[in-house]
Amino acid sequence: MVVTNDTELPTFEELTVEEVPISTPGLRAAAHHFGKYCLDVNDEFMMCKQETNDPRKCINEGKAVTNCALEFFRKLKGNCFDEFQIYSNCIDKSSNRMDFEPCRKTQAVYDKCVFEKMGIERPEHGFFCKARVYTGNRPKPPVEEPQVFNELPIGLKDFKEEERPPAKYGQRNWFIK
Amino acid sequence: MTKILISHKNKTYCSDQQNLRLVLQLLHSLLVHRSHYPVVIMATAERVKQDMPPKGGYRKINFARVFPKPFASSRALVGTYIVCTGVGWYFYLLNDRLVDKYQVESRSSIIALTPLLDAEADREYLKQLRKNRDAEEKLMKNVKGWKTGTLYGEPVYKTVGKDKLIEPSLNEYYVHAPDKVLFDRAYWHKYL
Repeated sequence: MVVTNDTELPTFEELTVEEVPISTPGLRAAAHHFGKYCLDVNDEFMMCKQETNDPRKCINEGKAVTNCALEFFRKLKGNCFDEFQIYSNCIDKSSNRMDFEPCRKTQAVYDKCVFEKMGIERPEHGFFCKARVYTGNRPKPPVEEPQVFNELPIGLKDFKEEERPPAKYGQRNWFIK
Repeated sequence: MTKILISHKNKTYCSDQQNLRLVLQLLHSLLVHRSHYPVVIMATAERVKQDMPPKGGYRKINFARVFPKPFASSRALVGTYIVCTGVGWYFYLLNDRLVDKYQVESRSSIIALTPLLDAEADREYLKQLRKNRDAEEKLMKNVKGWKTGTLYGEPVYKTVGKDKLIEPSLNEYYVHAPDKVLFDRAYWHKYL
């Protein structure tokens, strides 16, 4: 494998946290509210991933995301468990792609409950698809400078333009001059 | 002179110029197929009554071209086509917008979930890298001169710094796993 012993890898203890034990329909049902509840944490994590392009450097941000998700789902379980169950069940069984449109009635009940008890309003249509400006606390990543090669390859003489001797058999494009 | 008269189905045919073909056919059927329908009568010309056109002549042959009755005028047809197509396009575009709206909502939910899923996946990925490295260390501990992640001390990438994490290819990543795990990952689309 490419990973050597010199490569820094986080230990298992650093990487082991409590994960979110929820299946796809549940995640999909809660996606919009979760995205709004953990908006800043999620943006921070995604920005870190985008800028560093290295999974090792965004572990703390990732843990924060998972922690926020756990907090959100615990709150949801405490407040709107039945509504959430019915809605996610509807999403699971109404269509083969887990579409939202067959479940508008249960969604309305669920949205109402979440808004009244947790104070999270469903974001507008296509909120997460729109471009948002997020200015986090992270320092700006350094710009990678292009590599400059000073030395010529071995055995190649460095001519200056004046020292260049004339071509032995004349110029190919003699008519251009 | 004698003519060949043939009686067939209560009709009598004479072998003049017009009926010669029919007579020959009947004779043929009689002689070759031994058919009993026609009866050949040899008779003299005086006893035969010549078949003549009716008085006033035959009626005229109608050879004028008859057009079918048109269903509708061409303008009406073209107009109907344009109206139907226009209405169809209108409803198609309405539906298209609706489908776009559904897709945007679905994509929005996926984007909202991406950080959560990515965070978990990254942790699992790094855990697996460490497991792979430990497994290689254990497997090759008896090989002399072997260094983990290199070929007997020669690194795969020479100019890349040590702090950079190079992600291994699929074959390297699943090298200690059963084949099925790699194939399931590589050919994931067969489960769709």
